[in-house]
Amino acid sequence: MPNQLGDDTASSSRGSSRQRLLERLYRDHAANLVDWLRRRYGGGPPSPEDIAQTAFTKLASHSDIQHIEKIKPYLYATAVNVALDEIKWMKRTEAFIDHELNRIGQALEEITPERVYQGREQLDRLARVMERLPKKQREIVKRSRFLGQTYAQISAETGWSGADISRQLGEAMIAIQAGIATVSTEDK
Amino acid sequence: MADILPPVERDVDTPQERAARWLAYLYSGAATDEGRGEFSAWLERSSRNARAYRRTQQIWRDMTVSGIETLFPDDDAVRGEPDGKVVPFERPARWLSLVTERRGAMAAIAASLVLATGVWRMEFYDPLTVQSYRTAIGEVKTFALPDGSRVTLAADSRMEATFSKRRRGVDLAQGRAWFDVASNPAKPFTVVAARTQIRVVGTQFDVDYAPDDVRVSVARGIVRVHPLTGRRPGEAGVQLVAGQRVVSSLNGRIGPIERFDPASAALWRTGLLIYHDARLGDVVAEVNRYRADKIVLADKSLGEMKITMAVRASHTDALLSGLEATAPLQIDRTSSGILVRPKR
Repeated sequence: MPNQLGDDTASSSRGSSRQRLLERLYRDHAANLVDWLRRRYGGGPPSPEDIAQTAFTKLASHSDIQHIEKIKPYLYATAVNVALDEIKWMKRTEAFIDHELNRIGQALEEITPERVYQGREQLDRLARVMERLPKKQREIVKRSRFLGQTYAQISAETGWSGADISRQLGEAMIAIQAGIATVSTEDK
Repeated sequence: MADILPPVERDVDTPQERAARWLAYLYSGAATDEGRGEFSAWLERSSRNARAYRRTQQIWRDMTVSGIETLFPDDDAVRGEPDGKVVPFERPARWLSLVTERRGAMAAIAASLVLATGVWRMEFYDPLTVQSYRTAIGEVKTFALPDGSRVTLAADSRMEATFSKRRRGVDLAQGRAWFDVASNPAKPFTVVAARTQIRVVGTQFDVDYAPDDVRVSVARGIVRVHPLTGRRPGEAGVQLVAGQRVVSSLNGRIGPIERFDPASAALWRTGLLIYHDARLGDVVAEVNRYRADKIVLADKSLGEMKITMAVRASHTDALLSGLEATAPLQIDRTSSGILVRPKR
């Protein structure tokens, strides 16, 4: 499996050390990632193996992976996005929002190894703020953002109304924005 | 789900709060085309809305990285040993170094970047540089923008420039500006005045945000002008070439394309204000930007009078003596300003 990672620069020393790193990452993380994906998204299609493979391929396409500090969150986040990309309404929603933001010149930053490295303090900050959300809001964020559930699905599984879910997610995003601003002031 | 509706307009909401509610609506799985249309219109309504939504959406995107450990804490698979050797990047991007430097260093860096009139803001989730520019009454000044473009602001004018990796944008809040835009087809340069948006890739043009309308005059290149409405840009828009201009209403309705003399369009930059069959109301509004003691028209209908005249920006009293000599008007100097009214 590691040779499927697609490193074509193995002949150079830098390339071979990168190849070794990718092999090690794959060895250390692939099985756990596949397990994790199976528990969250079921057996597919796409299969958890395919999602993990796609995530590793994306990881290998970046030239600066040796700089990644948060390799696991980065890898899992990439896999989550690959999984969500298979949910039709979610893919349409993402495409619509991307298009709208590009159109008005407000394109988003991609999640790349370089950005994760440079923004690690801010990403930690975001994690701390998310940790402080009320339990119900954390559950909604988890289901909506990570599992790609519609409010109808969340409602069916939790009994909460769609309007309540929508309001709670809005409040969560407001609290996160405010929290990031507050934490960054405290840090100074 | 019938109970998921687009957020209602409430004046108490900040753009940031509204952005959060729009995100919750869009990711409900129940958003309709109509609802998405309303979202697009809201997004375009102001650059504050646009920036607020971008910031919210960027957080939403970044949550997948930050939330893995937080929301799935019982997972040994996620928490664990750090991996790989951490080697800093050789050249951190400038926005990051600005964010992470200690305060003293921040101030020093900031001081070296800031122009006399400007304030720089850097944010991780919205890595834009925003700078304000303004001129005093009577002052005409040329500024260099971060992309190499140059803008000359007429007296008593204000604008805010927003630059990022992908965007060059200016909000003209008041007054008049001449733009000489550095060419960059990959990164269009936009100017917004009231509800009119101007979009170029590299050219020279003049934007006059007058009391009742916005005039766009093109000296070189091609300029696209369209209303800022819920509709897609391009619809209802016009394309202007050198020597053409349009006047659009404050709510963004664009008038017919007119011809003008490009050589005279930017003479104000040299301190010469030239008017040919111009409304007296417009002339007074512009001339007032060059004087401390304002000229006031006693009667609104006087504003519709057409005049042809040239005055030096530094000697706008010549307008008053010209009016007295050639039109049936009389000038009274009062405590509240210089009153122009019909001769009795």
